[in-house]
Amino acid sequence: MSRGGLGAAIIAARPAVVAALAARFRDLDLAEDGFADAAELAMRQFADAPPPASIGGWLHVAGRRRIIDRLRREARLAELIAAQPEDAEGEEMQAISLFDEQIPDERLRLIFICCHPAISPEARVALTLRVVCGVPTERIAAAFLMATPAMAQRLTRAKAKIREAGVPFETPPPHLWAERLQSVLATLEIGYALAFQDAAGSEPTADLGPEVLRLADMLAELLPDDPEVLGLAALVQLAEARRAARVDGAGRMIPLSEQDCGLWDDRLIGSAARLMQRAAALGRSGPYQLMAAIHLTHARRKAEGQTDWTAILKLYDMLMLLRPGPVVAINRAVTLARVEGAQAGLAALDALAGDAVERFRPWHAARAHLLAKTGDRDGAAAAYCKALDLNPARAERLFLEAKLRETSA
Amino acid sequence: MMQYMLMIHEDESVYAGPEGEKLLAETLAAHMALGEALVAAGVSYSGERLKPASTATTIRWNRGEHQIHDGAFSESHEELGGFYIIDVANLDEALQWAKRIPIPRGALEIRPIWPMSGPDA
Repeated sequence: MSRGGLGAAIIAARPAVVAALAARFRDLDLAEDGFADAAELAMRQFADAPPPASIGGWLHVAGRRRIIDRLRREARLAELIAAQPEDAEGEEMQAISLFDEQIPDERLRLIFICCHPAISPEARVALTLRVVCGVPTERIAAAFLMATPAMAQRLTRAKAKIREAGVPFETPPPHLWAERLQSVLATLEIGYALAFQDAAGSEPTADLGPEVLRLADMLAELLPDDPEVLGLAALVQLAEARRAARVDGAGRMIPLSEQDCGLWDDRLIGSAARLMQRAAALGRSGPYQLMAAIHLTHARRKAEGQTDWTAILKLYDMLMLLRPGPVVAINRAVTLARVEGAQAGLAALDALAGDAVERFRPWHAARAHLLAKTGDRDGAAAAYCKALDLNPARAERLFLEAKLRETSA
Repeated sequence: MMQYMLMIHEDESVYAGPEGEKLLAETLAAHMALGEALVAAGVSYSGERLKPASTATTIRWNRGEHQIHDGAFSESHEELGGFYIIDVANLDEALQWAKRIPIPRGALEIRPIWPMSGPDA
C-alpha cells in the first residue's frame, strides 16, 4: 500500500479503534495514546510490506497490547491490570496480522461519553472532534479562535472531569436516552454552526467541515432509527454540499440565494434527500428535520431552476413553533420578504426590535438588505454600518463592505 | 462504586410566612419520600438538614492568622441548606437521584467524594 493510502486507512479506522480501546480501558487518554502508538507502528511495519486485510483490527490489537504494556510498567495502575480479562497478549507484534479479530463497535459509547451534559457545550465539541475524529488540537483551537495551549488545557480539563466525576463508560439506559441524545445532537449542532455558518466561511473554521460531516454521518449510521439524528446528518451534508460556492475568489461570502448552484455537490444533496426520506418514514418531525428540509428546498434550485420561497416560509413557520429564536425569526422575515415583498419582511424584522437584537449582527444585516430593496439607501447604509461594527468574520465583512459600497454609490 | 455529595443550595426565604411553612412541610415530606425510595432501591446514603445560614459561624484564614465571623462564608442568596451522600455506580446515577431532591428555589451541586484509599489517595 502507498504511504498516503496507508495513512488514510489508519485515519479512517481511528474512531472505531479509539472507541473500542476507551470502552475497554475506561480512559480517554490511554485510548488516544494507544491508538497513536499503534498507528506509528503500522506506518513503520507496513511501509514496504502488504498491510493486513483489516488495518482497523490490527490497530486495535496493537493498541491494546501497547496499553497493557504501559499499564504493566506503571505500578500505580496495577489494579486496572488485575481487572482486565485474561487473554493471550504475549505474542510478537508481527504475528498480529494473523488474527482476524473483529473490533467491537464502541463508537457510540465514545460519542456519548464525550458529549455528556456534565461537560460544558464548547468543551464537548472540542473533545468529540479531538477524541473521536482525531482532529489535531491546533486546528480545533483555530476554529474556536483560541490559542493552542488554552485549547489543550480545556481538553485536559474535560478528560479529567470525565475521569474524576465518574462519567459512565456505558451507553445510556433507556430512561436517560432522550436527555443524553439531546446533548449529543446539541454538540453536533455547535460543531455544525462553527464549521458551516455561511457567514463564517473564513478559513480556520471552514476547515472543520469534513470532520463535522464525518461525525454526523457516523451518528446517522449508528442511530439509523432516530429521525432527528438523520435530519441533522442531512443538514450537515447539505451545508457541506455548498462549500465550493460559499465564498468568491476574493474570500467574500456569497449568500445562499446568490450562490452558483453549479458548484453544489450533487452526490451530497442526493444523499441528504435520501436521509430525509428515511427520517420522514419514521413519522416524528423535529427541528433538525425542519432545518434540513429548508436547506433541501434551497438545494432544489439546482434541479428546478428556481426557489420555492412559499414552501420555505411554511417550514420557517413550523420551525418558529418548535424552536423559536432570533436567528429563525430573522430568516423567516427575509423569506417573508421574498413571498410578500420587502415591506412585509421589514415589518416582521422591526417587530423583533429591542435590546436583544440591537447587538445582533444578522438582524442589522437583514434589515440593511431589505431597506435597500425598498429603495431606502440611507437607511440601508446605516444598517450595514451597524452590522460592520459588530465584528463580522472576514468573509462576511467583505460581503457587507461590498454591499455598503453599492448602497452608497 | 463511587460516592457523591449532593449539596442543596437553596433560597431560605421561600420558607418564610404561612405559605412558606406549608411549602416547607411539603418539601420535608418529599425528602422523607426520597429517603424511602433510596432505601427501596438499595442505595446506601446519608444526609442531613442544616439549620439556617443565620446560625452559621465562619473562620477565615489568611497567612496563618484566623478571624471568626458571624454568618456563612459566601454572601449569596442561596445557602447550603443540607446534603446527601450517596453510593452509586457513576455520575448518571447520581444525577438521577439528584434530580429527585426537592428544591423550591435554588441549585444542587454534585461532587464526587475523594476515595479514602485508591490510586490517587
